[in-house]
Amino acid sequence: MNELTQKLSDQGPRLMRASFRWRDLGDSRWLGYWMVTPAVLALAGLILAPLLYSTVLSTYSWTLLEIRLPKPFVGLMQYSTVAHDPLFGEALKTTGLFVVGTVSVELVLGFLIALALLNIHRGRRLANGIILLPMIVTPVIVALIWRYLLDPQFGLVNYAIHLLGYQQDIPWLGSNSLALPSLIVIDIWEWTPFAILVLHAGMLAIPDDLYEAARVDGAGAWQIARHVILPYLSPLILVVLLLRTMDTYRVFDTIFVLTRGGPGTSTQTVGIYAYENGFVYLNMGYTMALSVVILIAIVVISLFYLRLLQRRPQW
Amino acid sequence: MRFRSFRSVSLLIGLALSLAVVACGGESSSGSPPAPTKAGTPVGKFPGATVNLIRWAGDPWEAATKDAATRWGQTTGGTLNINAIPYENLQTKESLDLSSGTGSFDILYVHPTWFGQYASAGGLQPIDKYLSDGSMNPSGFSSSEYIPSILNQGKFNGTQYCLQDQISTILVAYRTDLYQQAGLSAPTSWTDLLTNAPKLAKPGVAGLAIPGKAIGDVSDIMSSLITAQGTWWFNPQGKASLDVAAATKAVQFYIDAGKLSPKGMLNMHYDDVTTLAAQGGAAQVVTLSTELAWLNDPAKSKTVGQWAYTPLSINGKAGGELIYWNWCINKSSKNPKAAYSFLQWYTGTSEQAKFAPKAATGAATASFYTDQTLAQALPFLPAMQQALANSNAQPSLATWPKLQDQIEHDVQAALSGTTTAAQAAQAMDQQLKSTLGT
Amino acid sequence: MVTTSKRSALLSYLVVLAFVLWVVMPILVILQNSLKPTLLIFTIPPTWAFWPTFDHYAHILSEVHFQQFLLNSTIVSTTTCLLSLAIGSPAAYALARLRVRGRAPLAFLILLARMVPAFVLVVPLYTAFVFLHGINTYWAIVAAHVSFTLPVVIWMMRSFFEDVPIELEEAARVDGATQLGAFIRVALPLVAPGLAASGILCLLFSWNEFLFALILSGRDTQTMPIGVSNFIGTVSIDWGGSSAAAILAMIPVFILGLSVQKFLVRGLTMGAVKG
Repeated sequence: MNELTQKLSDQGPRLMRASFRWRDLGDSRWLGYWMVTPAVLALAGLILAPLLYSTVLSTYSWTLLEIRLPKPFVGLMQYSTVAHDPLFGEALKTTGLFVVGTVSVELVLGFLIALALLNIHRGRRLANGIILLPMIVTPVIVALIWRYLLDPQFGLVNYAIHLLGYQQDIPWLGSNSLALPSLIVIDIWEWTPFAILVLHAGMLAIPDDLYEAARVDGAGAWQIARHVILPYLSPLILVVLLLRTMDTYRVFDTIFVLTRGGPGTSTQTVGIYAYENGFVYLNMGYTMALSVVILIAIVVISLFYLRLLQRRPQW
Repeated sequence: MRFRSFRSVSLLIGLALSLAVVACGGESSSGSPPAPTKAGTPVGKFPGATVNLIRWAGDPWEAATKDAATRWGQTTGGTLNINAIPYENLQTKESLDLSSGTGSFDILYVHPTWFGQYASAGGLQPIDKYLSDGSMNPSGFSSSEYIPSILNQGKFNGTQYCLQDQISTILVAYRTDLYQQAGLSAPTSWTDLLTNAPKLAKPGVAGLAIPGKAIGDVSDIMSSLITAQGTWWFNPQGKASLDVAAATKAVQFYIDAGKLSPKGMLNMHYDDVTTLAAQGGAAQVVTLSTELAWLNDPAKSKTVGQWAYTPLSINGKAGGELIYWNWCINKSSKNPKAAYSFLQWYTGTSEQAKFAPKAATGAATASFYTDQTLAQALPFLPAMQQALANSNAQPSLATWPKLQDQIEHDVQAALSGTTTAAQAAQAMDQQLKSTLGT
Repeated sequence: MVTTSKRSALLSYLVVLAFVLWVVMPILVILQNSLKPTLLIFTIPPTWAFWPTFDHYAHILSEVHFQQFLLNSTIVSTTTCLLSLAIGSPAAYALARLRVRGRAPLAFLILLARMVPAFVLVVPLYTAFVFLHGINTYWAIVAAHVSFTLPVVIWMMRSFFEDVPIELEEAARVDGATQLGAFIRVALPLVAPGLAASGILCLLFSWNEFLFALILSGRDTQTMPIGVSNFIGTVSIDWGGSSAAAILAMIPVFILGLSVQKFLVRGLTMGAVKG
């Protein structure tokens, strides 16, 4: 090579070639975009686009079976119906009760069990393994298991209660007042392990010298928990709170299979209500309006939690 | 030797005669290809065709359909697949298939309350032409073999879409042995059921069991109760026409019956109360006539042969809701003629009678009810005929699903004590008026 | 250990034991039911000792053809996760290493994905797929599943890539590799366990999913949760058969879940907690 080509080749292969090479891509400024774009496109296409589609179609009145027929435009009328829909208000209330009932117990119970796990040596590994089982079992199967356990005539729960002396057959999932609490207990069974594992991981990350220092000061287990662990863990507790709230708000499978929102509407969460409107009453336009409102609600709640998180020091 | 040859000769003569009859029968038709004369055989050959049928899961009807499907396939050369799913998901699955136009299911089992929606959306295949086509039906067949008031339920805007089966109504079964022990005479009205129940109740035996699950059970029972009083949810023009006093009486009966029923009746379906009664847990039971077979099934019942039957009556008048199911063909089906061939055969008396004793289900054909052997196997047929004599068909208005939901929730509110019977009846009346107009 | 007191250690053991029992009992009961002859399932008091039978398993495999559901689930889940890994790993690497302007939109989309309920997304997705003739194909369900597994994969892989010491990649670049080469030849092999963990976690989530499969599947593409839910109707529940189906469906779940035990926390908290 002569002097000129030597100089050019020093400045990088790109300047020398006239045609495209993978090596060029490998170092281009655009590499980052190439790597990220498919994911952005996929998510935008699978989440954003359908949500926008839903918003647009919520301004039309149409049913599932009329999907190919021309649809009358009704503007924001269906949103006004949502705002005045007493059943939707009830569904929001039921969902709120469900979320608060499950998340609060899961946090407290999770914290306590995680604490207990800290204190045991042998069997911790095994316990951790077994504890995660309810979380990974398919929710539909969880529903099947509890449908059997809570059967008024043949279930083990009522049998255990009989052994304790109370002879009546309690209709757990068939009673207006007991159905929602039963579902709450089932969700607690299923997801407390999540709180346990996350909080336990957080506790393990606390530096040992903090524990030592507290013990040297004569602190007992409870005091250590309150003054050392709790403050250290509070951002993690917020994370668990945020994630479980988002997840419980979206719960569907177990309620659908167990009670379908019944008896009456006592377990009709927003998810079940949306499903009923769309796939049982087949009123799709209205369901889309409902979905938009439900989504805005969860986004607002989540942003609230995120704000709280951001104000905390990073863990 | 002589005896034997006599038998073989008469056999040959008999064979020749029957062949002659068959040949003559074929030739006397109007020139279209000869259809088999036996009414109990499916018509048509469909080698290699695959037909998919969707229905709710539950035996013995599911097993009966599967069995018929196998025999249909053997005769016609086609394959008929049965997809049985939980009843609660059936409407959704069918609606999803109809709206997506994929034609996944050629034959749909359609509840009367969904029929209007499907038909008006153009999702179903009209069958008028098939019914009158000689080549697609056994010789001598005409649609008048079906009871007109039932067949008409499958008509929409003057076009026939569906054939019916699974005829049933709400009936009451009561334990003759317990009645005898208590020294009571047979009940003649639903007030008798209420007064007798406390006298029949024992530890472990409820005086009366009535289902209260809001997936149609409540609506069926309410419909029967108001039919017996001579009123109905709407008039032939589709406008609200409920007699509120009669509705109040009906809800009050339901409340009183609910109090006598086992705990958890709000989540009990026909199955649950019937199983309970069959196991000896109830002295009287209000349930669907199709489940009455369980009471005399030794595999399911500890109380075989101890039951008598009566329709829901008041003031000497029986009443029942005509409950039936529609068999319809998907407009997007790729094998509509094969589908029709199965349905025409399956809804006929010969096939229906095969599983009727086990299923306690009635056919839509007139000849079913005059069959003597069936009357022996189904002891409640007289009670059923009584109830069907004064009956209203399950509503098939497009607006009915939402109305039914509202009505069932109104009744459940009264059952759980949140409202009174009068309030529930008022609420129902208002909902009917606001949806249907007057 | 938080405390050295023997009393609280004992108390802790009891608490953990009680909780473990409460967790494991329901699952054992279903296992027992799957092996019990039907009549014994309905006895009161419950029968604890009996001769096990495999009739229920035979029934669901030969008559209900439960294996078809398992097969469909396998196809859907593996396709979903291969896609998620293929699309998500590069994106995760870019988030971890490169200064990209697509960061903020991607982070926003990922958070949105965690917030959007399935019952909200399924309605427009179904409508869209009707017009795209996608119903009764595997692609409709795969697409819906990717919508929630892709964010998890990206967030998990990002934390794995961040764990790789950057010096190793820099050393490769000094030797003449491009950024892309460093990604393919250095970073990827080092996060192979992370890839496996993300992939398995993705399989777990996709395998368990119900609503999208319910609405977007046709006659031929029904997945395992749909198969199990078919047993839980109101008409004649088959306790023995459904228990057998549940056990069969739980086996892959247990194997998958226990194999990624270490990373489960990371996956469920979207990488926020390393676990």
